[in-house]
Amino acid sequence: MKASSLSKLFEAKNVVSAAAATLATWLLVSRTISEYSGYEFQNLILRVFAKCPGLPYGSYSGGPDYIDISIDVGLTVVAAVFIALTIRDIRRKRRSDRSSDGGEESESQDNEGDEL
Amino acid sequence: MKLRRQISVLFILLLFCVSIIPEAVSVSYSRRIFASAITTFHSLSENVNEIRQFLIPTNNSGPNAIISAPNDTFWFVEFTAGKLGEFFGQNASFREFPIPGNTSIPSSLAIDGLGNIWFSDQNGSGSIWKFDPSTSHFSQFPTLTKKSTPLFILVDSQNDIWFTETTANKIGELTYPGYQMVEYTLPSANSEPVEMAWSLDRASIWITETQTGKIARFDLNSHNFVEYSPPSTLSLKNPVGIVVDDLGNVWVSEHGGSAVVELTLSNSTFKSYPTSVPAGDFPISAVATLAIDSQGRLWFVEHYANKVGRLDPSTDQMEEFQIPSSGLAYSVLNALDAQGNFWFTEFGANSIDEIPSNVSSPVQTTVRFSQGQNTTSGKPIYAQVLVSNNLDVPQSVALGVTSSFSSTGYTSSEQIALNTTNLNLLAKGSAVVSAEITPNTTLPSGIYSVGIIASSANSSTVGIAFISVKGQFNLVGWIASNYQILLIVVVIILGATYTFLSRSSKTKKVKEN
Repeated sequence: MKASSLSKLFEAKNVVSAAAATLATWLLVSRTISEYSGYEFQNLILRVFAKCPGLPYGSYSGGPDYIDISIDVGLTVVAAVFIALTIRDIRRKRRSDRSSDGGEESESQDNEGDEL
Repeated sequence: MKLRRQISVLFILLLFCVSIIPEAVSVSYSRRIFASAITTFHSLSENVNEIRQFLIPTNNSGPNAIISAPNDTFWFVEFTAGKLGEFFGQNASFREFPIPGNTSIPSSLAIDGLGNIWFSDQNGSGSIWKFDPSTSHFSQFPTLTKKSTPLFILVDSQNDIWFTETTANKIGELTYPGYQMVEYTLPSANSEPVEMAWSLDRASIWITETQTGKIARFDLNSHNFVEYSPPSTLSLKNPVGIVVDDLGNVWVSEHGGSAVVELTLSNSTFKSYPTSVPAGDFPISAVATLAIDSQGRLWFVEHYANKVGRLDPSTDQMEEFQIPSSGLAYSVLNALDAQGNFWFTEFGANSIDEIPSNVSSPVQTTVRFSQGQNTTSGKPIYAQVLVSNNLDVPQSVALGVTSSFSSTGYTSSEQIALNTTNLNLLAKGSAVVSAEITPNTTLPSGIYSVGIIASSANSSTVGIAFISVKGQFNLVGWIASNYQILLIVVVIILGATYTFLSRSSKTKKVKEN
């Protein structure tokens, strides 16, 4: 009974870490895509404005966007950590399953480094 | 257990794919739109008899700005050729004056009370030139700030010369008679002041700030600036042209959008008058600069639509006339002659053009609301549109829509639905069309404009009306506009949950051992 509840916790952890990794990765990818389309649009506007002789050829840039850069770096770190945790948990679960089939000897090894 | 895990993984993968596809599709769609926009500048060129075109003798001279002078004479600058041009209306002849040094990039001009022509030169650090037509003598006044990119010139009743320094974020003054130069810095950084207009009492100067999307008023006595920003419900994308009407209200052209915008000074409210949106998927009409005639009508050139527009605020009708030649009909300054005819330059076609004061579109549209003009976002409001044929012959009319619901003027059929988009009108006949107007559920409260466009062969008329929209909270819209923040919060919650579960499993293991 106890082993079953522990296994359920293990499964829940897997799902949570996989979901966090997926969401963080998706956010990164969607932000990259929207940044790229924004860049393309800016390029178009600049090319269009180049056809307005006399008017300032606006830079349309207020310098680096530190908030967005921080969000992107944070998301990258979060995605990387959760991907690593997900892989680690899956591998650990496999080893655990194998050890429960073949003996308990590898149990202690699995617990090493189980710190978040 | 394995099945549950696989289902979880599949669910997450599905979520990922479903989320990514709309983004990818929207990017390819926008790229298609904007790519085609670049290549379809000149897709709609047909002959319009009303517009008279006068080719400039120098090839590819780049005419950029034109002013009207006494005796049916016009002065203009040749941006590319570096010349000052004079056009004689009586015999349609030209005279050109090369600017000394042959490196000038003249961008705009003005005439003072003594008959001198003043023009801005964007070459190098920037300068202002004076040309005396009686002696053909040029005098140069370099701007105090380097790389100032001077543009617009205005002359006051004392013959002082005022000019904008777009990249220096300043306006400058050359004081008559010694022409000492003074500069004044605008309050917003990098605002890029572009064009100027006198206030009604001539005690202040109105200035468009193209980069910040504001307009500023400069007091000639105190030398202070006051800035006016539109409300969040109304965009002011790259304002360029600016004029003041007989009531003192300020009119601005949106060069980064598709509208002429009015600032009513008495209550500091902004109203947008949208143009039609160009064909060929081009995103905006890019109204360039404004001129106001004695009847209070606003004339302008729609840069990317290649049309001349005329807005009559007294009737809320905007007429648009297709320019016959291909190329960009562009100028940073247009002119009205003594008879009220509108003159503009065609930078690409290397010409100066005239369209008569009395030109009119053969169709008219009038929008009427039967049950008030107030609605709530997401809820429809109904209007009747009267479309009239002014000609003695039948004609077919295509109908379209525009609005200030978006910054480009683009309006979907869900936002304004017409019961028909084509009409065959009898000679002097008219028809009534029903319009169902449904403001977006995400629109905030404010005054919005809707326009019904009736197009015939080479011209169109936009009947404009205003509606008051009361915004309401929309959960789906709120989630759609804040989904990134929400997902970041979800990721944080998942991280916390993971930590909690890790600790729980560790505690359980310890207890088991």
